[in-house]
Amino acid sequence: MKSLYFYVRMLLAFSLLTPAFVMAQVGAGVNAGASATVNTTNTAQVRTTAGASTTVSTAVMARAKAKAGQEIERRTKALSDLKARVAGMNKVTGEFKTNLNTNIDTQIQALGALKTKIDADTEGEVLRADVVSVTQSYRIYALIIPQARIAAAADREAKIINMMATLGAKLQARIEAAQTAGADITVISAVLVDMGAKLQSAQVHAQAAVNGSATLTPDNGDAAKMASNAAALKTAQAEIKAAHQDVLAARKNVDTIVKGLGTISAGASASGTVQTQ
Amino acid sequence: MEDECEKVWSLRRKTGYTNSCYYTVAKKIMPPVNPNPPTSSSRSPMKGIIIAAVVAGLLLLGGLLWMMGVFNQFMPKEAMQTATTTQQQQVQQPTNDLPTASNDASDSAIAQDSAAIDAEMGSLSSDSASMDQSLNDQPVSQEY
Repeated sequence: MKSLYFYVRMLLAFSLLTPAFVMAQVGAGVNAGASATVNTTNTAQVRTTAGASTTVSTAVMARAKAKAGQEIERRTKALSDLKARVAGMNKVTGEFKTNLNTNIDTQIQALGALKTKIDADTEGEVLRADVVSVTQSYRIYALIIPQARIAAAADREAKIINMMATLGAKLQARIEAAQTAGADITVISAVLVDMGAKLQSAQVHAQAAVNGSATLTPDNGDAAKMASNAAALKTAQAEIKAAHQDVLAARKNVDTIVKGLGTISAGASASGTVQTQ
Repeated sequence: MEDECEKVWSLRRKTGYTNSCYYTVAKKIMPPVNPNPPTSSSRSPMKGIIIAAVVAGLLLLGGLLWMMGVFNQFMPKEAMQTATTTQQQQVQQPTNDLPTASNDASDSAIAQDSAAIDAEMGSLSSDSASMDQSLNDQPVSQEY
C-alpha cells in the first residue's frame, strides 16, 4: 500500500504559502499625474446665467464631493474588514502577511488624504481629477481587495489541506491495523491514495493562485495593465476554485474510508461472535 | 669483544695508552658517528617562524572547517543524530490544526477532526464567495 506519509511530508514542506515574489506596491497607488487625462471641456455645457451657473457649479461640486466621500468611505471600510481577515491568516509567510497589511494601511492612509484634498478642492477640474483618481489610481475594488481575498482563500485552503493530511495519516494507521488483523484493505487503500493525490493537487492550485496574484500592482489608468491585472486575477480565482474542488473530493474520500473501516470492524465483530458460538 | 679488549689492554699497559678498550673496539664494529653534530646556534630563525606560521594556519583552517560542519561525518553517531534532530525541530515544526492529538486515531477523534474540517470548509465557501464578489464588483458611476 502506498504510504500517505510521503504526501504528508511533502505537504508539511509546503505548508506555508510563499509567493514567488513579494508584493512591492507600497505607495504605488497614489498617482499625482491623473489630472493629465481629465477632459477640460465639459464645463462649457452648462447653459445658465452667470450668477446661476456659479450656484449650479457649486452644487455640482458639493454633490461630487459628497459622492466621492461616500466612495472613499466604502473603500476604507472594505479595506478595514480585509485587514481583519488578513490578521486571521496563518498559513502564509509572515513577510507576505506583513506586505498585505502594509499595502492595506498605505491605501487607507492615501484614501484619507485624498478625501481631505477633495473636501478642500475649489477648482472644478482639480476636483474632477481627484474624483476620477478614486477609481483609477487606487483600484481598491479592481485590484487590492480581490488580491487580498484570493490570498485569504488560499490561506484557508492551506489550513484545510494541512488538517486533512494529518487526518489522512490517522486513517492510514487504522488501515494498517485492519490489514494486520487480516482484513482486505484493497479498496480503502486505493481511496487513501486518491485522497493524497487530491490534497497534493489542491496545494499546487492554491500556491499557483498566490503566485499569480501577489505581485500585481495598480494600473494607474493604464488600460493594458488593467486588462492584464484583471486576467491574472481571474486566473488566480480559477486556481482557488480548482483547489476548492480538490479538497471537496478529498473530504468525500475521508467519508468513504471511514465507512469502509466501519464495515471492516463490523465484519470482524460478527466473525468473532460466530466463532465464540 | 672481551678477548679483543684483553689483547688491546695488555698492549696498552705496555704503551701507557689509557683510552677505553671498549670504545676502541666498538669503533671498529659500529658505524662512524657524525663528528660535527648540529647545534642550536647553527639553525635559521626564519625556519622556525615559517614552521610556526604553517602550524598556526593549519589550526585556523581546521577550526573554520569544523565550524562549517565538514567534520560532521566523523562525529560520533549519537551526537550527530542529536544535532540533526534539533536542527530539524527548529526548521520544520509540524503544526496540528486538528482539535485532537495527531496520534489519536480513535473513532471519536476522527469524527471530531472531520467536523472541524467541515467547519473550515464552510469558511472556505465564505472566503470564495467574497473573492467572487470582489472580482465581479462593478465601478460606481461618478457625479461628473
